[in-house]
Amino acid sequence: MNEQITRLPAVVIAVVAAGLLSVTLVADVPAAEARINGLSGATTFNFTAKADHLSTGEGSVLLFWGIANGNGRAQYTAPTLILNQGDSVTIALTNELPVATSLVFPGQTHVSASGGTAGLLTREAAANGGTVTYTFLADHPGTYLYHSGTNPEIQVDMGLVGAIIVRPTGFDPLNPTAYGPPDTAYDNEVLYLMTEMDPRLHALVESQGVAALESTDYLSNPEPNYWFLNGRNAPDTMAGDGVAYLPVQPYSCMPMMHPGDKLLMRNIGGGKDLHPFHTHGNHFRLFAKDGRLLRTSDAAPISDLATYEYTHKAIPGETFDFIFEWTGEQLGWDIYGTGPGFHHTCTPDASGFDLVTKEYCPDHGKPIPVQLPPDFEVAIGSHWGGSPYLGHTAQMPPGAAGLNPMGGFTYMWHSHQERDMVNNDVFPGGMMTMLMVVAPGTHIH
Amino acid sequence: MRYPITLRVAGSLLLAGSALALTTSAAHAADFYLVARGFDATLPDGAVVPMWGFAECDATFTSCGPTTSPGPTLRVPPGEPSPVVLNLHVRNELAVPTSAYIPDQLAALSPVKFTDAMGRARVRSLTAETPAGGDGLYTWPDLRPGTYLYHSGTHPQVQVQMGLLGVLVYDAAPGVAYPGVPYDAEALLVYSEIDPALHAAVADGTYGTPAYPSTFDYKPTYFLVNGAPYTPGTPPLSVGEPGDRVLLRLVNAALGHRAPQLLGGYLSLVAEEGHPLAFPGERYGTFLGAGTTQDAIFVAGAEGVYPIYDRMGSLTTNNVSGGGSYAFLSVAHNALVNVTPAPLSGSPAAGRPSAPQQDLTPGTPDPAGLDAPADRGAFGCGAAETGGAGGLALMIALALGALVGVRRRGGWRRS
Repeated sequence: MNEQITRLPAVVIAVVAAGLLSVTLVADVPAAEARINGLSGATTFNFTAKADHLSTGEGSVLLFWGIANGNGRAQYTAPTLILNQGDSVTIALTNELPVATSLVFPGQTHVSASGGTAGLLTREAAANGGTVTYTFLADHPGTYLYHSGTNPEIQVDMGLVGAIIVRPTGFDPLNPTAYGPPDTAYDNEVLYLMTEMDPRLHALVESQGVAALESTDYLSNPEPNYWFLNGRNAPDTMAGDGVAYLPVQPYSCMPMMHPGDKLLMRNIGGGKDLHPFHTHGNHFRLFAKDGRLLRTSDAAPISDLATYEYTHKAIPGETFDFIFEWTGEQLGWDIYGTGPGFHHTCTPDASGFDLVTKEYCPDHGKPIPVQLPPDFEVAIGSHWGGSPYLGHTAQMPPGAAGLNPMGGFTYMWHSHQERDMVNNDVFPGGMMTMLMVVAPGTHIH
Repeated sequence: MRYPITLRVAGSLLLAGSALALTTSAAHAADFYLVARGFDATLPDGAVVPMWGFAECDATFTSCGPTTSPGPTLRVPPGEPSPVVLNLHVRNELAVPTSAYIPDQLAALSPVKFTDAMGRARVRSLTAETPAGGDGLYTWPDLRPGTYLYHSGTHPQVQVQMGLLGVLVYDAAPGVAYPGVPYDAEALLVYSEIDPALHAAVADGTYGTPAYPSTFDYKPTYFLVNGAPYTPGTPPLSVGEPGDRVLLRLVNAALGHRAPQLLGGYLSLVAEEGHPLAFPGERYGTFLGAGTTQDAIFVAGAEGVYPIYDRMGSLTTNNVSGGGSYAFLSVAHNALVNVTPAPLSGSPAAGRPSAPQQDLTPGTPDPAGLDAPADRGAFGCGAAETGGAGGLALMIALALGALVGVRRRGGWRRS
């Protein structure tokens, strides 16, 4: 589908919204607009483990232990490594933490460690300046993670966890796939690294050091109270990559897509707890776990054991990949609006969808089946753009939040363990973000 | 020294004599004789915790192996025509009624109810109870192959946590776990946990009182694999040679979930809760829910020690890091396959006062047998030190059944 779109000349859909606004949508629809932010183009990394402080969604701060690329500030989550299948990867780790640390690479099968000292799970870099070097061969495409292999029940909670993405052999940025087979093709991709922190642990480590944990039950009976996506709590999940006010939490987590796009979600259970990942708006096609396609055999050309879910239990340490699609099919009303000012056409393809707008043509021209209430009868949410129709906005009362200037449709995506949607007991927050479906041609960033 | 697995059959059936007569003539029966007893477990940090466990005995209960938690691994000999009957003969030396229960193996159950203070009929046992001081027989008429958890079916929210648990192994054929799932070697990983406060409350009779009302507030601080928290220096489980199909039998008897994660390789998940999967799933970790079992094939490409540890963080022993649910699989050429130490090194509880037991359901009297004295059995560290009175057959039965460990197809390489 996407290939067909990209071959089309730019299509201009002119619509005139009710009221004062006139919105012009230019559908040049470049392929694969949204990419996961991370370190790409390198196979050798010099990392430093060090302490810093992060900002939580309700405005508090927590001590964390993170990974710095080079010797800058530590970041949470650790740098996302974006590799190519077949890369021989070297990670030199210098440890500036007050305790020994290490890194393990679940799912990588040619890992070797040199230097440092022997630990339980791998070789470790000694406290206060020790070094260790890891190498591995990224011989399979997919979504993986890496994290501390030294007392992970402490150090993963403290922040030493990050994502690894391995692009398949022959990766084409204009026609990307996650694993190579055609059913793993996508238009946009988003990382969704789920973690949590127990603030008691962080406060105690900051005030008294790690050894003080032994006189508590924080490790045997953790009570996390912060939940993160890509190292941020909601609402910060929805801020852009690298915003200045989150200097050690560079990674955004806000999926955006057009109707008909294939949105690849790379999800990782990075913490110690289960997180049932739940999408609103549609189910999704789960096709890989732990960096391996769900298929009947290695000879199967596609992930023929893929399943459809709308909530997936993310297991600590597990990665899973799925593709989410949204078209508005069978909503029963015209998502682009009806009546004066909303003229548009719908030319169905064999599946019933307009090639450009992805409108479901059997619903074309059907009015929205409710009488829209006037502004003074409703509480206006921050993601309301003033119009129920995709790509349209309308004038709103002064003070309305206006976080939806593109007139998109907004769906909450979150952990369905609803406790995870707070920031230290303050709702809403935590492991939550919004999917924004925007009109064709709207730039996704 | 090699002990053919068939010796286990001989041992079992020899000891089973009289019980065989109870079954239909066409069915092959495996009989096991378990005594439920209290014992004291000494944990790596020196803590002594009163536990309940099972010991395997001869058919007259005159000679028994060590009392352990997990209890003896019950290995039903494969290769007999269906149906195969399992008879568990239970002698209850605890001060409270108990029973034996195997989730997802079919049996005729006789739940036991009591009437609570509000006049409601409530279940306290999933099947018929064996009273304190009494004997009971539990029969499964048509065993299904697989890896299963057996445990107390009476007040399981307390009795399983006290240690009344173990593993049943029944292969589809010798060296074949499930149809189409052959294996060369195996390792058993049984996860359990201890909240010492619960054990103390049961022992001193305060369980069910405001001091420890119920397992609702259960907070384990010891996390065990094969009956012991990991301690530094514990040798890895030797699981064979590179290229071997190693069957990992994963069993979670804890109240909490586990997520065993393997480093350096992948697992092929072949069965869940005794049900073979149509298509094995390839993954480096798995979710092992409370009370569930899974079977996975691990094929190591190279020699090495492969950690498998709980990614959910039960990696402490009494809140000290570096313990808990770590295990290590050693793959080496010309490997001698180890037998792991018996679970839960402990000490005999002789001289420990038999504490009065209170009802295990909060606020409701349980009149059955609370005043029977607890006969805490002798406890040893390994089969080699005990069971001498039972003769060679019993020794072999204990070596194969009582120990949680690693077995190679065709028998033991070394014990």
